[in-house]
Amino acid sequence: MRGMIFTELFELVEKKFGYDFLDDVIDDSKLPNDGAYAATGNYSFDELLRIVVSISQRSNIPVPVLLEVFGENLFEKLILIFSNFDKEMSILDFIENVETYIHVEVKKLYPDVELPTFEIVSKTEEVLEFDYISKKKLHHLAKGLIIGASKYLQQNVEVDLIENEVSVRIIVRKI
Amino acid sequence: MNEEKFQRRLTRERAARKEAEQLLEVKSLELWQLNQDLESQVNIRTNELEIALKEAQIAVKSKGEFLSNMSHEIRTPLNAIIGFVDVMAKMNYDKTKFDKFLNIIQTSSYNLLTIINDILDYSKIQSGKLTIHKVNVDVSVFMMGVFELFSSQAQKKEINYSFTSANNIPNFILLDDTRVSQVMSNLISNALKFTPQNGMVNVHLEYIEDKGSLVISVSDSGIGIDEQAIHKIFEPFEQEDSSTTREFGGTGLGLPICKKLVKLMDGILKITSTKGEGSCFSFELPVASGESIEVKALEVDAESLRGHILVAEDNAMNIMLIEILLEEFGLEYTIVSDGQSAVEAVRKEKYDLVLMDNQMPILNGIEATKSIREFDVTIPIIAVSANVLKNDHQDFLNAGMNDALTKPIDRDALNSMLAHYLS
Repeated sequence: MRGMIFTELFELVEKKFGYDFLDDVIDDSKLPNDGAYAATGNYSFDELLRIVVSISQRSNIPVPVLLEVFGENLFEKLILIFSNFDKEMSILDFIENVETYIHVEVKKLYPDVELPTFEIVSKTEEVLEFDYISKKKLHHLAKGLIIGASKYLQQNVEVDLIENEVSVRIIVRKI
Repeated sequence: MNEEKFQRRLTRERAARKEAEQLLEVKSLELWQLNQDLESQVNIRTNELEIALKEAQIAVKSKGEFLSNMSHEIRTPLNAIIGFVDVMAKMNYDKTKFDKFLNIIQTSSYNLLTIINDILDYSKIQSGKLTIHKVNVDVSVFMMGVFELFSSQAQKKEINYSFTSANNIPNFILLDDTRVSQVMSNLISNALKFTPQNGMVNVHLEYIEDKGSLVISVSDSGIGIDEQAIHKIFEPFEQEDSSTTREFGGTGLGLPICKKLVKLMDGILKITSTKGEGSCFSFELPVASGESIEVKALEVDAESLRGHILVAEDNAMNIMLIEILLEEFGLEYTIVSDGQSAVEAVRKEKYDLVLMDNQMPILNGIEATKSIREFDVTIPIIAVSANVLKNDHQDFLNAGMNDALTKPIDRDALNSMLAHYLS
C-alpha cells in the first residue's frame, strides 16, 4: 500500500481526534517502524488494517464508516496529481475514467501498484453500475472517494453497495 | 509527559523524512542509471545510422556509376548502327562497302542486344527477381548443344577446341538449362576471346558422386590473369585493366552475372590462372538426377516447310519482318492485326499454325488463344513475345499455346519451330 494512504490517514486522525489519540493507535497497532511512514514508500496492507481497526475500537466508529469518511477526505489529495482536471465533467463519466485513464496512468508511474478493477455493468445519463473487484475489499473507501468526487464536482449522488462473493456491485445515482 | 510525546512525534517525523530522502536517493540513482543506458543506446544507434548512411552513399554512388557505364555501353554499338546507316543512306550503292557496313551494323545490333540482356539480367539478379527453374535435361545433348555454338568461332582463330567428360555422368539431370548455358557460353566465349591464334580451349565435364554435384570447367592457353586482378574481374564493368578493354572489348558484366547465377543455383565458381600461360574457370553445381526420356532433336530442314500460317500481329515493322521470313521459307500466310480477328479467322478457315503476338488490341494473344481452344484444340499456336521470363512462358502454355518465340525473332529459331510443328 502506498505510504501516502498512511500519512493522509494519520493527518486526518490527528485533526479529528488529536495527537495523543494517534500515538495510542500507533502503540495498539504494533507497527514495525513505530508509525514513521514516508508518502512515497510502500508498506504492508496488513499494517493499515491494524491501524484502522484500532481507530475504530478507540473511537467506537464502525470500520465502514471510518473508511467512507477517510475516502471523502482522501479524494482532494489524490486529484492533485491530475492538474488538468476538467471540473465540468459529469461525475458518472469521471468514475468511468478512473479505470480507463487514471488507473492506467498510475500504473505507468508506479508499476508495482495494486489497484482495484472496475468493470462497468451499465451506464445511463443518471445511473452508473459497476463491479468493484479487489483483494483488499476497500469498497467503503471507494464509496467515500466517490462522494468526495461528487462534492468536488458539485454534483450530488447516491451510492449503494451490494456485496457479492468476489466483487461488490456499486450503484451511483445522480440526484 | 508532553515532552516525551513530543520527542516521540519528532522521532517519528524524522524517521519518515529520512525514509523519504532515502527513497529520493534511490529514485535519483535509478534515473541516472537510466540516463546512462539511454546515452549508450543513443551512441550505438548513432553509430549504426552512420554506417548505414555510408553504405547508402556508396550504393548511390555505385548506382550512378552503373548507370553511366550502362549508358556508355549502350551508346557505343548504337552509335555504330546510326553512323553507318546514315553513311549508307547518303552514299551511292557500292556492294563491297555496303556489305562491310551491313556486317558492322549486324554485329553492333547483336552486341547491343547482348548488352541490354546482360543489363536486364544483372538488374533482375540485384533486385532478387531472377529465379532458377530446373528442368529435366539430357546431359550429352545439352552439353554438345552449348559446345557447338562456339565451334565456328574457334575455327576462325584456329584454336584447338575440345570437349571432354568423365564416364560417370548421369544421362539425365535436373538443372536450369537457360542459366547453365548462359554461364557456360560466357566462360567459353571469354576463353576463346583471350586465347591467341593456335591456342587451346577445352570444356570438361565431371560428376562427383558422393556430393551429387556436376563440375563444368573451361580451360584455355590464353593470356591468363594477374593474381591481384582475379577478384576485380567479378566487379561489374571492371575488366583486368583498361588495356584489356581496349584490346579485347566486352561489357564487363558477363563474369559478375555468371558469379551471381552460379550462386543462385547454390553452386561455386572457381578460377585458377597464370599470367601468360592460361586460365581455368570452373563451376560446381549440386544436381539431382532426372528422368530418362526420349528427346526429339529439332530438325532444321528449310526445303520441306509447307503450310498456311495465320499471323496475328499489330506492329507494322514486325509484320514486315515476319512476311520476309515466311516468304523465304516458302510458306503461305495471312495477317490479322488483333486477337478477335485471329479467333474469327481460325473459325472460318483452316490454318496449319498460328503465330500469335501477345500485345494486341481488342483481345490479346492469351485471350485469343483461350477462345480458339474452346473450338479447336489441335491447331498449333506459337506465342511471339518480347517477354522473356520463364513465368510468362508458363502463362502461354497455361492458356493453351504450344510454344513461344522471343522477339526479336531469330530466323533459325523460327525455322526450327515451324519445322517441328508443321510436320
